[in-house]
Amino acid sequence: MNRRFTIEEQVEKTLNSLDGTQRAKSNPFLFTRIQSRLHDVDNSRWENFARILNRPAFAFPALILVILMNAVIFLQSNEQAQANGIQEEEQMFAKEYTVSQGMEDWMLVVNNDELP
Amino acid sequence: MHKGSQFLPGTKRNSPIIFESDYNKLISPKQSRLLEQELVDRLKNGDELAFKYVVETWQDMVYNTALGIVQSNEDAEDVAQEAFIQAYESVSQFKGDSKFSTWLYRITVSKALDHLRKKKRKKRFAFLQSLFGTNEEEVRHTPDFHHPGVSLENKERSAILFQAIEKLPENQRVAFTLHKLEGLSYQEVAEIMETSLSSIESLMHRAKNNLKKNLTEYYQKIEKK
Repeated sequence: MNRRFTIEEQVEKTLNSLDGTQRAKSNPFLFTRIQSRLHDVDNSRWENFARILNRPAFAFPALILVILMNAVIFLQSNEQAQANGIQEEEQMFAKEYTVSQGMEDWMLVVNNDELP
Repeated sequence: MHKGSQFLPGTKRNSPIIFESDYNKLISPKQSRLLEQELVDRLKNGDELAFKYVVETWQDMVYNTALGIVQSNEDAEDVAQEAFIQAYESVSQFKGDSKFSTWLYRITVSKALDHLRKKKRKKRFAFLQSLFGTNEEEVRHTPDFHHPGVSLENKERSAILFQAIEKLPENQRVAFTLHKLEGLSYQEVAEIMETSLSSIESLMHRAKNNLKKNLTEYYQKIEKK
């Protein structure tokens, strides 16, 4: 019984051991440290962005995308060049046979010539 | 010009602030509110001097709260720095529904708990690594924590109490630390933890019961030895 009381007393004393505790003092240079940390945060944002760009998971798909876009642009410009070429040929053909108007007029002239 | 500028000389950006260190005792609650509002406005405008004032006024409060929860001087300083940075960056979210110090307490508690969770995760990972033999480092247990504000006669007992506090669930730990180490009333603790007064009373009751149970087991083990 006496032993039990002693333990209870110890527990009670320990529970109350924080009574009257003074507030712990922080580092007097806390503000300076926060300032430098805020500066680091600004820098690290750009560093993080650069790190993301350098990641293979980002870099390889980005490279493939650029190559694909180049290929699409090249193919499109090629098609356009071909279309321009055909148009030029038509114009040259029309010039050669003095067909200044449209195709319908030309056909009419040809048909009239064939009439007796 | 803001009404509270009579307490805050110079409302221009980066103009000096002449505050009393414990202005709450010197001026009325209404004046204190106006002063706080002006401080928040200046913080929102990115005024560095206002931020310096905030750090210098509340750094001990933030540090002591963090220290009580994380139980390590280095970790508490890290948490304090993180809490002030978070406050600076998210001051626009401060609506003025509570006191600025209450808002700061909330940020500190949340940062301290995040820190503890990260530490636990690291410990678990280090333990797993040690099981597979990939981590040569020994999994260390935190040494006895001695709070610098405890009187010499209570030093040993408080270290035992802190070990018991470490085993408490998060919310009981926070409520007990705020009440015992920061000397806050149950009402103030309830405001910080955004809960009712009766919940805090119940939390404190359970915290004390758990601590008693842990301490009894501790002293029984000592007696057996």
